[in-house]
Amino acid sequence: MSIDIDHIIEREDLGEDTVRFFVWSVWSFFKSTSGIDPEIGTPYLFDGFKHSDYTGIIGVSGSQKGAVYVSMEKDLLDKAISFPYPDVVSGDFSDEDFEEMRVDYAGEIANIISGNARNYLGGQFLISVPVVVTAPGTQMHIDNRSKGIIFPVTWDGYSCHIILCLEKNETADHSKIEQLENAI
Amino acid sequence: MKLLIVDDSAMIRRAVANAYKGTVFTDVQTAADGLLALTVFKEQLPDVVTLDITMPYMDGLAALTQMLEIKPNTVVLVISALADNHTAIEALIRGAQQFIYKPFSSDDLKEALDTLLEDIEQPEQVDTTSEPKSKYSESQEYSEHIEERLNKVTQRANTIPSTENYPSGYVQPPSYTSLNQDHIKNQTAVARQMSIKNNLRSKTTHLPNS
Repeated sequence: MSIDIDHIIEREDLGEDTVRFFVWSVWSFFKSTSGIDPEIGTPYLFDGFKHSDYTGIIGVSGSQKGAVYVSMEKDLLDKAISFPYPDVVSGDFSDEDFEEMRVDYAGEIANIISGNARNYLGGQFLISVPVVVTAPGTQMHIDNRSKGIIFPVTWDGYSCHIILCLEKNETADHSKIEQLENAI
Repeated sequence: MKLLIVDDSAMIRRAVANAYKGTVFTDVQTAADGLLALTVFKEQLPDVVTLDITMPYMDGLAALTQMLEIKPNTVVLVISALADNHTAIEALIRGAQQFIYKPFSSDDLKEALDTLLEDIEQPEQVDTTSEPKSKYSESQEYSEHIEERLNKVTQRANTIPSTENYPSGYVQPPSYTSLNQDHIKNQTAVARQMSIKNNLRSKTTHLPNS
């Protein structure tokens, strides 16, 4: 898994290390839950992306602001659920219950990927609870499309996309936050 | 024993409940956010709580503090996606016994449960009304216990690599060897002092009025 991301990381808003860690976090999630290596494709700038079947969204505040989107197809989600929770897939659930679980897990995937990234980004990288959008084929809108970077991910023959829309939060008083953290 | 599972994800609540099915827990309750968890906690007074951190209405750390004010000898296992040392140590400082990161396996949960159960001393007397007591009632023993827990958590946290392991121009899973021992020692020392202070504060709070 090697990607040349230098050509798209020219801003200081979204540092190269930040991007690397998110990509590692995605890789780590799929690898640790299934044992199967995902392939992370060449990233590209946000341009007219349409939602896949389920999109988990995590709002980001603190040292950075923006959002992390994980947009995935239904088959990938079902497969991702089947590894850690085989009883759910084989269980006697109604379609409605199973759909609730898909939505729940789509949000959890986004939460885990963003939360794991905090190991590098630190306590000032604050993440929200997940929101899940089920609007396949709908145009995705982000605050500032020039800030968005899309990473295509292929795992076990299925595909999903990670969209990072992050920029430095100029309004955050980092020195005060650091002082508080040090005080703890 | 009573178990309270707190997580905003129904899948995670289900996974934890399944992992602990057939164990010592005879009464298992669940809650989807910190505020609801507190309500259930006050009613049920569980012996063990598994607690997420990022939740709506009230986060897990705030809920943890309030739970331990209500019942200080509750054993708390924090299960969170927030994989940074700072969060883990913050949870331990506030009184959690264990911290594991998402994604987890059922083996991770069972291993954590085994460790948690070591922390609970079953009542030796035939007194069904008494609650399990922590083995670590004395300050010295308690501080040693906290230090041991911190060491375990920091070891686990450091299986998550730092960016120092990333070779320039590549994105690849780094090796698990990024230990900054000085930093860990400093954090552990601070956390230990905080834990002792909190423990003493907790003891003081529960002294009978004279």
